[in-house]
Amino acid sequence: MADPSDLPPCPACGLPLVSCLACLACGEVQDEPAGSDHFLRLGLPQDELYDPELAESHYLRLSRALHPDFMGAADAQDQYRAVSHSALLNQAWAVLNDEQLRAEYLLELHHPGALARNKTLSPEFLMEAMELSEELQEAKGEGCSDTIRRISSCARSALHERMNGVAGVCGATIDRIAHEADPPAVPVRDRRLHPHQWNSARVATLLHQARIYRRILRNAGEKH
Amino acid sequence: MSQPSEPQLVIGIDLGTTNSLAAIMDGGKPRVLQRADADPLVPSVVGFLDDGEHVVGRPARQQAVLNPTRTVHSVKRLMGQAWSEVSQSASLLPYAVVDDGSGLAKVEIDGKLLTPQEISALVLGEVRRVAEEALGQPVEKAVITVPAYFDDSQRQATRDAARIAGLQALRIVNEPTAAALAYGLDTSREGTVVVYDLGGGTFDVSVLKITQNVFKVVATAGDTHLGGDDFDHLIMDAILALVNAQTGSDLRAQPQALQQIRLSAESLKQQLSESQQAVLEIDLGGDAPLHFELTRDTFEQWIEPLVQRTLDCCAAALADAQVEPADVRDVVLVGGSTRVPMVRRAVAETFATEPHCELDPDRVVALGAAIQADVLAGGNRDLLLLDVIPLALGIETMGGAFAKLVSRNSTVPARATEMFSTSVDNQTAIEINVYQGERELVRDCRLLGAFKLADLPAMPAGLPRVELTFLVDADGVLSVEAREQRSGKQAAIDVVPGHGLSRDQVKSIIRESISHAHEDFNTRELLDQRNKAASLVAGARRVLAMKELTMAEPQRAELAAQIDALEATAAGQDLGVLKSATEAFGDRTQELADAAVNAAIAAELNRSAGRLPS
Repeated sequence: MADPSDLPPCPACGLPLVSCLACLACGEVQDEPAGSDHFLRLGLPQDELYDPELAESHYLRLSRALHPDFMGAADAQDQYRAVSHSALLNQAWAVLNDEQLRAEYLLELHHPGALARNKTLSPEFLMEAMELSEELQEAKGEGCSDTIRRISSCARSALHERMNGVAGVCGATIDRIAHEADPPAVPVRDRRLHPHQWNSARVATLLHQARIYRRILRNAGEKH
Repeated sequence: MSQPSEPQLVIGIDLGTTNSLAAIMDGGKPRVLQRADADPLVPSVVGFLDDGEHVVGRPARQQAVLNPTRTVHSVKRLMGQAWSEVSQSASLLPYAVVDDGSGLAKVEIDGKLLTPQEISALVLGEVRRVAEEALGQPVEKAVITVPAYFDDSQRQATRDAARIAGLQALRIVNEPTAAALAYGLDTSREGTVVVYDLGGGTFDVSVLKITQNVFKVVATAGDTHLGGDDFDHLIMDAILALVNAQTGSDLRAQPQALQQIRLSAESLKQQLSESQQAVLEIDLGGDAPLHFELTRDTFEQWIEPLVQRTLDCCAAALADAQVEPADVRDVVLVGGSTRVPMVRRAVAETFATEPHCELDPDRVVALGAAIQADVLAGGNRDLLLLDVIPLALGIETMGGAFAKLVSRNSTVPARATEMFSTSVDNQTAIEINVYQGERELVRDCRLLGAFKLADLPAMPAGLPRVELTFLVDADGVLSVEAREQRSGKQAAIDVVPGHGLSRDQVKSIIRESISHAHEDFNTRELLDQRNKAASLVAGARRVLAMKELTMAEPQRAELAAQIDALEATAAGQDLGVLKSATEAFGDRTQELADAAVNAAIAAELNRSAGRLPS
């Protein structure tokens, strides 16, 4: 089950289901079919450009349908289903609404094990990242805010470079990787992602590197 | 979708370190519940008396100075805590906090050990009585607030306290989130809101994003051992040092004096919020009282490191939320300690905006809890609250490392799954320790509990595939499920709490608890009516016995029969019958009383007339 078009119509209102957790039209809670994934839970197409506004609107509507706060009158079984469906929805949202986690999730869906197989990063990269990280620790210890800012901006552009790289390997932007002040090196070719055609080893390596730069930014107390 | 049904009665309760109170939604607005002309704030204090009885609230606080070792306050600080975690801060408490032998912190009163949950249950019971008297009907369900930074054991302990008090806690809501609801901030505009909550014993900061009537907490941080009490302790230390320097005596060993000084320190702190300096005269029975003077400047120097700690928490929460101080639209102040001018100033400077403090900081949390209670009762279907867990949940892996399964600031309900296998051939059980915390090693995190996956099929090492599912409910409380994938066998796992009470312990406390004597509303109402009837009966018999009463014999007999009838009704169980009988009898005795008064006045007039010269 990978696509909303495979879902049966809602048994309550007869309209097509978009999410496998609940009907977006009438709010009826559904039994989740086996093999569902986070995209199906949020009612989003897997191989298209991520639309943050559509995702948020689905998330909020599904939250209203599923949240245990609104289940006071339901029986114990329905209450339990509401808690566990809400938890699945929150998990789906946490993963898909973060470009890094979304890219990793999509990679794992289509190339299982790619992240684990490509964990080894080059010594040059590791050395560079370690130096940056140590420099940050020192600057934080001394309270040197200029240096912290310089390191952050360095880590941020390195992160963008990796994510643009991911986009390049994927043949499209994974999402709004484009930073307003820092347009992507690779132009958007189309809205389709074709995840099964990705060079999985390259994408995995870039995502591992991006993770490290995100951690440095986080340590610096900065947005990524 | 379930059909909305008849709204139930659900109240909101702020179970505070210092004070507790209840509120309810009434005509679209929350209001606090109180007895007629009484303060709605119930001091979170339980006093134990000589006869084994106890008092709760104001009378308990009043006896604190006379009976310090048997007056329990600030018990919220002990909820769900191990003895080792609280032994240091407990040394400043005048009552005894002890290790119960299993590592749990308990309160010792007259040789009897009480769990913090039982003490909290007594406070909850009193808040409930206030609510029932204010509403005139029984209350069984509540939304109870806790600091956002409370971990799993502290939340469990709060739920257990409610259960012991005979209340169903429909939801545990975070205090800062409740406060944000109470402010009724503009929900039509998207915006980021920060709630700064400095109470008596705890500090919390939450960052919320508001969109289309959805309050979504994006990050929370705090310190469960930082609050206004710590401000008091700094003043106390200075007073104790002064007394020690002047007289050589150490008052720390004298609970009664310590309690008095605690109250004085609190009062000095409050005065310094209004004026630049405050003075305390300490009469120790010597020639001249000791003179203790404190300026606001000095006080602010003392508390500066504590205030800085709250600001560091704010910075951490903003970083987690990926928000800059300039992005924050509104800042809301909660908790009595935000009355301290330095705190307000520091918050205003940090966020470059004047914080909201229009609502009484002592009441705002209860008001917000009432709004959430209304949602759960089915009265409000527009508002949606999405809260988070404050600390990561995970398990111990090889070498004592902490593997986080659910990260902090995950929206609840939350879940995570993890696969496990065996490491030895034919191993049939796996033991798993569950921790909560943010550090890398489990020894730096809190052990929530342990459980054992037993009865696994005997297979070569690594072959069994056990899928563990961690499910965190909307209260932020964890449950665990396991399924062996090859056999399909499902196991429901009871996590044995590391710092709390097991389900059986809670049940046995409910059975034995001193608050179990808590009668339900109807029983109490029946008792009230019986008392009323008994006093009517006694009054009527007194009047009937008055020799001045001139009453014909048939009427006298009829009245005597009515009195006996009421007495008989009062011995029965039917509240409705007794109520109407008492009312009817009340009308009858009113006439009787009038007659008796008239007779008495007439008799008196006759006597005086006899003495007066005619």
